[in-house]
Amino acid sequence: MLLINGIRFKKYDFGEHAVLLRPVDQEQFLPIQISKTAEFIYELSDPEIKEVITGIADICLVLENKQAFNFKKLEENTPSDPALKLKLLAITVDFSQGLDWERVQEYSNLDKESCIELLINTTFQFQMCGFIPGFVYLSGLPNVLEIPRLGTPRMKVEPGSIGIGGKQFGIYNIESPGGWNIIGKTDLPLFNKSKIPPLDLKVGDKIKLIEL
Amino acid sequence: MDLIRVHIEKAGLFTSIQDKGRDGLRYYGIPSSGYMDAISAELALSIVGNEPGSSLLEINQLGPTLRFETSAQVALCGGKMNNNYERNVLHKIPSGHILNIGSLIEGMRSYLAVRGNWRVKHVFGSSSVYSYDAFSIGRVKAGDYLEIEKGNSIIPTQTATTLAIQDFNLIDSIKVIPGPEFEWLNVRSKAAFYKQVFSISLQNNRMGAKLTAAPLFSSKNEIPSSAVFPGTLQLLPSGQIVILLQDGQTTGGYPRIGIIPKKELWKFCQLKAGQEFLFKE
Repeated sequence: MLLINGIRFKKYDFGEHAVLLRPVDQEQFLPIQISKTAEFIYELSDPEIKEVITGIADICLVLENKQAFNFKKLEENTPSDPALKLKLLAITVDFSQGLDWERVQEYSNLDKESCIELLINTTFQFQMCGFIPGFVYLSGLPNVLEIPRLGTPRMKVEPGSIGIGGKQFGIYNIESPGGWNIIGKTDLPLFNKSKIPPLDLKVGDKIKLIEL
Repeated sequence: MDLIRVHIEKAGLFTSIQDKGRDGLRYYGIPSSGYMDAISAELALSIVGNEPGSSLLEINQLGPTLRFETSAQVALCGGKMNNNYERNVLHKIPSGHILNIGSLIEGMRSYLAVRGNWRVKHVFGSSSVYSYDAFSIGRVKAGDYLEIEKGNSIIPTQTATTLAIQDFNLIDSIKVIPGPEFEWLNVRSKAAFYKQVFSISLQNNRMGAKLTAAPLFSSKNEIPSSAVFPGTLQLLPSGQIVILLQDGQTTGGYPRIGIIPKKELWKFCQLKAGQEFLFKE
């Protein structure tokens, strides 16, 4: 058992080099709290931790030497109050470039205008990056806009596309195949492939969508 | 600085520059990429005396045709191609020579190392091409030049006499460690996993490979998105297995029933579509 950032985690083995940290009480924590803890561990820049991968309900660590790793040291540091450093980012969205409005309207029982109004009135938060390079997950999607993924993924989704995948909401920052419902597109590049970190967002940063 | 220039006359199929890949960036969704068969790639690099983990060409079913504008020293390792160059030894290529790598006759991937420092674009610390080409390091194409600086920071060439040529056709088992969701398989599927014969389907590339076998059954079809790695066996809702590889995604939502250890993954990457194998504990 490990207590990190106020969350009690249990360790599970994953292959030779990785461990999964899962909250003991899964229901009690929001994905964004897990993400914040993952960010905290990532920012320790501990040379013995080779990779940190944020999951929706867990954190995966790849360790140089799993047997010798002192997990207790993760408990010794506590992150500074994250709320102090949060920033607000406005993203301009061209909703006319949404490809799946028919599906979104059908599943939500709302017309396009009401959906857009809901989206622009929501304050999203940066939850995590992952899956493919620079894919940005935003938390805060209103329940009514939870739309199942496409039966057959598209072969090509343009960078900047904004999509709904079940309960998840996010932005594609590179061209890739994808199965999410695309509701619009932004020109704001969130992912910079010429620097590390490639992204200037911190977990919890507030994000508002603005209609073009 | 003396420069070796190699003109790509024909690119072949999916020929790409690869090195040991990217580390420490899965946090941002950035996969490892890098050479698929690390053993063969490292052998090729050591034969020509280049730094371990440095750049070379990864060659697939149909190899490129290369014109050497300067003499060079090269090594070919990995899958056997139908050319007259013995694998796993150093070859001196004279200036003006055209090297036709040919097509693959054994294994899945072949590696061409050229002695010297490769002048290549690095993105996130690696010259490896990533499948979606999100990093704008293009695949090798006809008309391109490879530019390699002679000499400098090169370790002495190694003869590979102690390393026997692998016959990739004889690979018939792959070691696997049970994954976090292995216990979700029902009793019959758990037993079948180690008993039934698997083979790689035609749906395979640098991102992943779908296997062909009788379906396995798990108590649940989905997990909340969680980490996956090259070598992770995902169980699809259809009961089929997909093995994620070097360019594979960093998180996934399917049960992870196993993981092929890093040291064993090269072997899997040399299996041909249709070649039969067993998973062993």
